[in-house]
Amino acid sequence: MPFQTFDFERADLRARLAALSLEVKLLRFAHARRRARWDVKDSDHDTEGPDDDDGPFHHDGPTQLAQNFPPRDHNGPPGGPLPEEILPLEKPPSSQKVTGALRDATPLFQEFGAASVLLAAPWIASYAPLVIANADAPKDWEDLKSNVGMGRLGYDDHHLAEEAAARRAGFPEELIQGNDNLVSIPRMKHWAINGYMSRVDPELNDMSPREFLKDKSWEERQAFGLSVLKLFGVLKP
Amino acid sequence: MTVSKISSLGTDELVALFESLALRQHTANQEGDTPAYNKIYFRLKEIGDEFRSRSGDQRRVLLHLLSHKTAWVRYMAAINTLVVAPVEARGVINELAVKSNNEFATAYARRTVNALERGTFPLK
Repeated sequence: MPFQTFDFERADLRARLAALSLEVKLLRFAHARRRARWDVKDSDHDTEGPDDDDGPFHHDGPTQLAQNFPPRDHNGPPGGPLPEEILPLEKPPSSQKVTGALRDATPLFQEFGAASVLLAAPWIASYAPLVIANADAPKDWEDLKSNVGMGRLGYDDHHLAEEAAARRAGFPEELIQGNDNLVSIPRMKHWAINGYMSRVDPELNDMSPREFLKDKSWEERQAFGLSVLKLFGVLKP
Repeated sequence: MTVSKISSLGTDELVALFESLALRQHTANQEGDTPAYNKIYFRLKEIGDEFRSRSGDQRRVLLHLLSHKTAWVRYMAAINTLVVAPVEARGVINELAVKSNNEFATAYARRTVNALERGTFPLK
């Protein structure tokens, strides 16, 4: 029987998601028992209640998933209700709006706790791996390298020197797909960095980094890619 | 909006336009809308240039945006006031570079800090 390595990262993520799911269920149960109050519209007083999901939630007890999402700029432990209308209650209609809401949700996971976010915007549960990964603290270089090719939920393999641009510039495939050019990073950071590479930049004389790097060497492309990982808090400074 | 239209706006109107464009650029960042981001970038640049060209360099009118609730608006106000209020603007950029609730504001602030230290940020 061939030797197989155990995927600790995937198992850890599954365990965290299971814990999260259980916590949300327990919170719903606890709030239902305490006759939690709901924000109601004037027109639908009769139909509102703790069993429906169509209004922002008020609750007065702390909710926590502290081990996964430590508090940031928040006085006291993570938890408590989110400010009203900070996240859409229903899943937005376009993928762009979904992405925007998931980015808005990431610091809220850290500040208020995952359960509070999911109670306010239940649709985010199906995107939890993306948001959990996006909230990662900066990692060591070895951490980013060792997970390449693992296909972890919420993560992508990312090319330091951009893949398509390097191919257009004629760099060989063995360099582009080489071990020195790949790191495993949160998928939402991957998207953010892809966007950053095509946005105009005053320091580059109003060129985008992609334009700026067009005629640069392989080493310069990789060095730039490395610096961007630090800017976005993926790689430790 | 054309340059001539921008030049016809009063100070308060221009500040309001700057704020609303910076908020739209924040949304473009969050939603990954690069064409919108780039378009707004050049409009914000026009407004910065317009304030600079007015009598006595009026970019200080943007200083109250340094305490805006949206991190990206604080960042855009800061890079547009670096020349006229370097201490206040640099303070905001340094703070954002350490931490904020917006990953783009923090990333760009870090890049600006690096560029200022290297002397490659285009100050004018």
